[in-house]
Amino acid sequence: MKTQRTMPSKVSRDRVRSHFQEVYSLSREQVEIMLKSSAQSLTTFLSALEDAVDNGRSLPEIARLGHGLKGVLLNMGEEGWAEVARNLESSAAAGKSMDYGEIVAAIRLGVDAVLEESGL
Amino acid sequence: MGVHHRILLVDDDPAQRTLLNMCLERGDYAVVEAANGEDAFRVLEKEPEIRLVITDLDMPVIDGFDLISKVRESDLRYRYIIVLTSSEDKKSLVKALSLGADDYISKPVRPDELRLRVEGGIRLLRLEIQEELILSMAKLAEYRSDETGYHLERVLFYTRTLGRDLGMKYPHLKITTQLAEEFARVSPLHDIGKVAIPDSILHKPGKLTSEEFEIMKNHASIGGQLLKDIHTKTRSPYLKVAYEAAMYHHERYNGTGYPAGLKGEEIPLVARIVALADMYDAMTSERCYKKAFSPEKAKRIIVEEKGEHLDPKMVDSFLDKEQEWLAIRERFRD
Repeated sequence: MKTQRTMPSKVSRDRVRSHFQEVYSLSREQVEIMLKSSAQSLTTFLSALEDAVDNGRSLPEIARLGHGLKGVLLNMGEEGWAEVARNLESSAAAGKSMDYGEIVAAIRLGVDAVLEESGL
Repeated sequence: MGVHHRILLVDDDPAQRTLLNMCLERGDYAVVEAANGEDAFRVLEKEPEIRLVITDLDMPVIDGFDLISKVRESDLRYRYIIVLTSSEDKKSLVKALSLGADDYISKPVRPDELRLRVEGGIRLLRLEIQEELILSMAKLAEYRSDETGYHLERVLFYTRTLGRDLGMKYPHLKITTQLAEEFARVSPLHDIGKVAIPDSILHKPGKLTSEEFEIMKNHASIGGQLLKDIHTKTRSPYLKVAYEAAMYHHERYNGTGYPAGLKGEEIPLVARIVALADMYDAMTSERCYKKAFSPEKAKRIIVEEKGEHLDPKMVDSFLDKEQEWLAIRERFRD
């Protein structure tokens, strides 16, 4: 089944920088550390999700990874993308059959500007 | 120089740990990180001075729920646990709290909320440290007086037995199990004012002169005032009850006691309870000025003092539960 949904606008590094600066009052240096650290966490969760989907891992595992991904996106101030991850998590937790790979791919595309910071 | 409280931060997501670490370090806290429950427990075993833990729940290896259980099982000194949870996941939150977590922070964490929750935890831990210090002072006072051995322990257990029984027999007194426990915990402080009494009076073998007795009587108001002063500074309810016990445990039900000459129900409940517990132990123990009375003789005197020195309710409870009192006396024999 294809998933029809409107995805949020793509994440920009400056938007994430502003969020860390304004909400957490981080210094410029700390903002850069957080940007890199968030990018690494996003990479870890997205790769693990892709692996789980490709290899037919259990839905509870997908739900667990979706939960982690949602947390990273919320910390980055990306409510819209966190909502996408939340839907992925709750659908997997409820045992729903859907194209999880498509959602993961959409999230990866949405955050790709940040992923470049990961250095991975 | 300020005190750097050490906080253990447990989360499998390094970005989350880094962010919280940055927020906490600004508050002058020293943060130790762990990536899962197993690593966290290892840190806590190695570093017993860490008293505050902030943990995620959903983690690999050992999750946050198991970590809470393990910490509570091994608690020698209380550790304050704050869990990180999603605002929509109430089920996990209830589970964490029922396992022994103290507080929670919803994700995404707001720095000001994090600061306030941590400060709340530290306030509570500080009160516990204060209680320990004060109980150590009570022990010091006991070493100085002739009431060595297990006097404080016996008074504590007599107070607990009396408090629990009164709570069941007289619901209007509103002594819950928790309050009975509170009364028991403060009871060792009742004679703390004796630290200010000269050795020559405290250790005099034989009857005190009326002048010496007047000095001896000061121990109630000295101890009471000391605890009242600390209560004023800390607002700890524990110290308010402790103050009442120390200040008024020599009041008499008929109004002829000291230091205030309070009568009947005017005397705080905890003081009426500790009065009987202390009196029974004083009578049945040997002191530098007297031999120990037999339990039968002590019981006779207690019955004679019903409505005079002692609240009749206390005496009735004692008579009903005398076997338990004797068992406590036997268990903590000097």
